[in-house]
Amino acid sequence: MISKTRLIGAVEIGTSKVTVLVGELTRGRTLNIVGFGSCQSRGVIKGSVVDYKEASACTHAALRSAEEGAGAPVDAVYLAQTGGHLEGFYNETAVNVNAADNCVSAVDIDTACRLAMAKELPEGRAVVHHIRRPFRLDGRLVPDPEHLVGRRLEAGYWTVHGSEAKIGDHIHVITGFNLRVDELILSSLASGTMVTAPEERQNGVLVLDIGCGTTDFVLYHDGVAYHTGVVPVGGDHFTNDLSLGLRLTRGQAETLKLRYGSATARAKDKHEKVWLNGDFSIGDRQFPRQSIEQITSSRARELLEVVRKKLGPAFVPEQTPVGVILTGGGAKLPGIDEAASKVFGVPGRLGGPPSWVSDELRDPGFSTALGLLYFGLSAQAERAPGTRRSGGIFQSLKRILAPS
Amino acid sequence: MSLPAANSPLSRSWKDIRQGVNPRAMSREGRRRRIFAAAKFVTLCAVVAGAAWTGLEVYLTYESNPARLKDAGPSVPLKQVVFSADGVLDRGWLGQTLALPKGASLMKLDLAALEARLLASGQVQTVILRRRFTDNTLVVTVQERTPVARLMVQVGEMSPRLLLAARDGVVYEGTGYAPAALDLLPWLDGVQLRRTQRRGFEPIAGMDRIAALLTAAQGLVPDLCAGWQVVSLARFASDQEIIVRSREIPEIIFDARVDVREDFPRQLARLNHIVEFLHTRGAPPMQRVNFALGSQVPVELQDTASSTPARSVRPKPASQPKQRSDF
Repeated sequence: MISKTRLIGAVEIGTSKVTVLVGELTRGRTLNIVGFGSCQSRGVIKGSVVDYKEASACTHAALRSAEEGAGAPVDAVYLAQTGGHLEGFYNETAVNVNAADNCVSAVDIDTACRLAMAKELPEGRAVVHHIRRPFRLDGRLVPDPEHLVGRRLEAGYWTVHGSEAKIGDHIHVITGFNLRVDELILSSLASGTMVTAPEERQNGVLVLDIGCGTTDFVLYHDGVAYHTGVVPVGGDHFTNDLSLGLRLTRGQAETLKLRYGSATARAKDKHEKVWLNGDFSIGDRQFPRQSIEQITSSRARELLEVVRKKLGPAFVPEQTPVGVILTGGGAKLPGIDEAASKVFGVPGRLGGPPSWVSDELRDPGFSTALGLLYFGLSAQAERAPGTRRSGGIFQSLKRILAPS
Repeated sequence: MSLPAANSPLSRSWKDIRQGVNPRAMSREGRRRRIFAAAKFVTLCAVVAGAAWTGLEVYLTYESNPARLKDAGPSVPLKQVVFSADGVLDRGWLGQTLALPKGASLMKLDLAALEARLLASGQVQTVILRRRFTDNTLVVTVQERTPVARLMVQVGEMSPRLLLAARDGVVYEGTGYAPAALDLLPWLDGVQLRRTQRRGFEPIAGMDRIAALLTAAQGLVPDLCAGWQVVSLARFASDQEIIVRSREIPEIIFDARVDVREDFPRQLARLNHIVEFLHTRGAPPMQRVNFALGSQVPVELQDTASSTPARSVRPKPASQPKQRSDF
């Protein structure tokens, strides 16, 4: 290895903005955030790239800005993936333990895992994540069954897959900057890792990342992600409804949403009115506050109910004692935690980044980008001890000579 | 029984998606980065290939003819010699002393030998020789000794030679000095020179104190100092005294002990005071004054009746001791 320090970029190509963080990874252990770039997103609808050139231009601008901040070029990128095309399913398999003494070997575990992951996907779909749930050995939950005694080993994977074309579009936006995508990480997993503690994930918690075009959710149980999903509805739809309901432009509706929007109807006086601009300019007019709150709260409740419906039987309030944690730009809507609490029947609260995150990045909108670095490094660290070094000096030479 | 894991096909992963992108689909920045990365790759390849080729060449040469590895490459002839000195030595002297052969190669010059040749002249205190390959030049920088006194030396039956003594006691034949400048130096007396094995003389002890005295005198009593003709170290070894003979005062004895060496300005000030005092009183000229007796300064005046006017004195040539007269 030539250098013990690598610069890793975390890129979230969202519907409203592109966020890039640059983390300096020293000796594979210590991470410092050294660069930050953000740009208004273009050419992206509901998390999917619809205009390659526009999406590339704004993503590359953000990457350039982050690299300038870091003072050095980024070596590789962890890319967030979201969009309505992402789906998930659970596949489980069971194998009989091979050894005569019923002691589980590494081969048994490998066989069970491979079989559980071997479900064929439809044409044009690609796996984004295989998330393993805890093993079951003769019905009991075990984190690592190796060398334990049992007859039947069960392994199950929550497989997240998406449209190969749409994932490819995302990746090509990054490779168009001559960068390599090292990890593709589901947005909900990234933000979920960031706003929850390991104990909360062990006990059971639901994380909702309400973005501009999509809402990503992940349900944790027993320390792992049990269920993930994406709803192609986000904060943008609140604005859209306000625009249609109050006959406003999108810009005006966005302004009203940010100023007076609420996920719960609070205004009791139906005659209370608010000004659109409040500067007595020509065209400035008044709107009943109750109407604004009714529209936004209805949409919020509807969004939360869609998520609840998508979770289906996987969500059991009794198994989610920590409750619902909300993050993302949409979580800044006042009363959203209260609304979530009502819809899901569990406590709701806003999720924030850990204390070590600088003030500049404490906004809920950055939780995915921060989580990308955190999750990506954790995933690599988990894989590292098990992976055998292959290729030796030739692989090292290949890495050195490989164009970055 | 478990199914063999190798038979279970894994689904297509996002990692199977080709990350390459058509250069036309790249942004300008992306293309720039790609070109830079390619250039880096090519450079690295060239460096590796160059290193491998060099290694192979060295190995093959070593195998076939190891002596070739020791040969230095051809060197270009010396183009010019740049000389700088802080004294009177000039390029003519340098050319004579170095005696470089025509068309000498810069690489093949033996700098140590040249340095020794230059240092053979006692007038040269230090010398720096430097090869400058950019314009095939030999750069010679010389620091010279400054003479403090002169002395006449007669070796055997040869005619007396004029030599110079520097502050550090080194005795040398001065080159390039103007005769008028040498005339200003006092003669040195009362020393016995000893030859060294390298055809020179051993340094004279006490010259540093004479230099200190003369420097102080030139600064404080320049009029008196101008008349100093002989400086003698005859009693330096025994009594740590320096004797000065001048036109006006035949014998001035200075205390030159190490612990009072810094005291020369005081002694000179006293001398000046005495001279002025006697002059204002119309006293006869001094015959002898001694500053080596501490606070007491005995002054001996000339007997005006029998005195003769002071005359210019020139010391006898310093001779070699009989037992050392073998050169």
